[in-house]
Amino acid sequence: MYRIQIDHNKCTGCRYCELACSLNHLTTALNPKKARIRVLKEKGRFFPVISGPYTDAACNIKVDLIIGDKVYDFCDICRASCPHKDIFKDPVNKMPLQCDFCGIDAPGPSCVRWCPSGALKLVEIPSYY
Amino acid sequence: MFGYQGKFLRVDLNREETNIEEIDPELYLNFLGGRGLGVKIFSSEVSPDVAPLSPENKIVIATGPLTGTGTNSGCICSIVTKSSLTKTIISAQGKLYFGAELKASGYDGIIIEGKAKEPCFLFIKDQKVQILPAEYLSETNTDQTETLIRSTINDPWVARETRILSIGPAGERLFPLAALVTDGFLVQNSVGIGAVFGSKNLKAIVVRGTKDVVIHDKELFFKAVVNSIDEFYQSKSLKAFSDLSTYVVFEEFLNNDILSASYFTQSPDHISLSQIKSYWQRHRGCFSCPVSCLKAKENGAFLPDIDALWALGPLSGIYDLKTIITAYDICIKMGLDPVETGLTLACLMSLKERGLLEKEELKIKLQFGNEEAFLDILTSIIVKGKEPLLGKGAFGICQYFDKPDLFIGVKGRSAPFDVQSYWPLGLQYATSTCGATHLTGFIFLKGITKNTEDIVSQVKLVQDKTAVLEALGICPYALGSFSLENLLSMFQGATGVILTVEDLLKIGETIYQLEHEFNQNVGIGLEADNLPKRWLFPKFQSLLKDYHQLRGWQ
Repeated sequence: MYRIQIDHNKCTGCRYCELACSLNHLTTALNPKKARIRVLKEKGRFFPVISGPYTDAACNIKVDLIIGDKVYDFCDICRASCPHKDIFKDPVNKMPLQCDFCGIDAPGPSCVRWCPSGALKLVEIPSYY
Repeated sequence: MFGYQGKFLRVDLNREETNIEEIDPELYLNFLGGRGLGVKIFSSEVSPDVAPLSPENKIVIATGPLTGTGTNSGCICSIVTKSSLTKTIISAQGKLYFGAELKASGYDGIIIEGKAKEPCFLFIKDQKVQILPAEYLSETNTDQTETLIRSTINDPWVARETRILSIGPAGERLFPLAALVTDGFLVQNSVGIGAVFGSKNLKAIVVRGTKDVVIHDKELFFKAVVNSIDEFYQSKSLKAFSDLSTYVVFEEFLNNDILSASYFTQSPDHISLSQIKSYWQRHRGCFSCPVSCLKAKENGAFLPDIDALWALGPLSGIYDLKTIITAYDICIKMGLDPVETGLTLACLMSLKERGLLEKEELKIKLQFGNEEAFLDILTSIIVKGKEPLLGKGAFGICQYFDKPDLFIGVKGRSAPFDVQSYWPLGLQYATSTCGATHLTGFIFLKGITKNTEDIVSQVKLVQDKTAVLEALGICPYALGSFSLENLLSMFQGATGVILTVEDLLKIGETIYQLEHEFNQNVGIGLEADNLPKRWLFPKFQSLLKDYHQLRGWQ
């Protein structure tokens, strides 16, 4: 089974992944706001976040995430598209967007293919199901 | 039109009106966009006689056809106006995300005219364009401005992805030294534009866009981008530029005496690349740029490029990197251009050393190498009512003391590198349309040296290439190694227009010609293409003559 591995230490914030994703899904247009992977910038670091499935209710466990000596809002790094936040929804018709592991230029999803810094990688992990 | 949005936003600050204008497709074809279109619109709408700080001066912000499309280094927007420092036309390179966001908001550019009665900022969110009051932002530094504007936006994701172009207190005081800052990063080549923003009472431009950029041929475009990324992986020179940023020329410059110290009077000592590198914690990239040449601290604050580091450091006699980086931070926060500011202070130090400041009532403890006094005076530049002299820039100061010969620079703008032994850069400094800068012609990225046979045609070629890259919306740093052919196939994929390399160079030449004509009408003609007396190398006059002949200027 293949998964996209994210190394946020390598991410430079160029947003190539957003562009690649939107080009692949919109076919003739580029629009990072309609991408299924979004790069979050927080405290001078970049975190690529891949959209997960849509949930119809916002969760009520708001947790703070501590990495090193910095505190991050877990809600930001959560990859669910939920009523609580507008990210991972089409900005025009508000349809939820979900990563579908596309592959325009095999092998692998277009965001991985375009990532120039090596922050996104396709890795094979054993399947337990 | 594919690759373009086809619309410009015209903002009249006098009447607080905004209009949407369609641009003639012919103009797009002839000038591409970015610097080309910006210069064309500016020079046809603004009379050369206007004072830079008068309401009649305009600001044209234009993106290119490849800005924000995912083309390698396709991130820049050009900000064209008449500079208050050099009085010439100037085209700044806004990097990071501002250009792409502006294009995503549905406009190819903005034309700003008039003067607002009260301090204001421009807020663009797709179709919704507002001119909002900015009293609460007056006197705030660029960092605070961004935080304050973002704090008014509810959704944290939207707030983070809102792009801000702002001026600091220096711009509000109308200092010729003032520059623009976007997302904590200096807008390159923007010295003198900060004051134009300030004179219009325009504190910031805030953009958020969610529109599509429609392209012509997806398959072709996708392949070309993948090619360029592969090109990046394979190219050693690009890798070196990615690792070292502008410091890639450090050793070479140091060995050839291009980097000198104490306002060009001594050679520098004890500063090494490994010392500088020890401060680099993170690599940052602009929008859709694989090179990621920007260096940042752990907290994300940007570190100075080689020219800024040298101007704020050794040229002022300072070798302590901590002091230099602190000084750079102050410059960015205050909205001062670090190169021009550093050289202004260095110039003042050299005047003081010659005993020319004694009579003045300036209580300046400044001397080469005095770190504490250096930081003191840097912070005092923008304090109200104090040392307004410093805000004039090095040229203004030398004029004030009636010693124009002591000024090192061209057309009123200071030069950071010593060109006595580096002739191609000397020719670039002399002939650049906006004063002594390498930012409009990256000579050293192409390996042109003193011993190159056809210096003149090579310099012209690099200038034209830089101009056309800026017109396309590509960062000129890409000039080093990405091939123009691959760029052209991306251009074809995005717009559907087929051009050749010759066409591109022709457009670059036209842009340079337009800028030159504007400057000539201002009164800054061929006689201003000169170097400071100290730097006149033996072959300079003949090189300059050949250059003018090649351009067809009499």
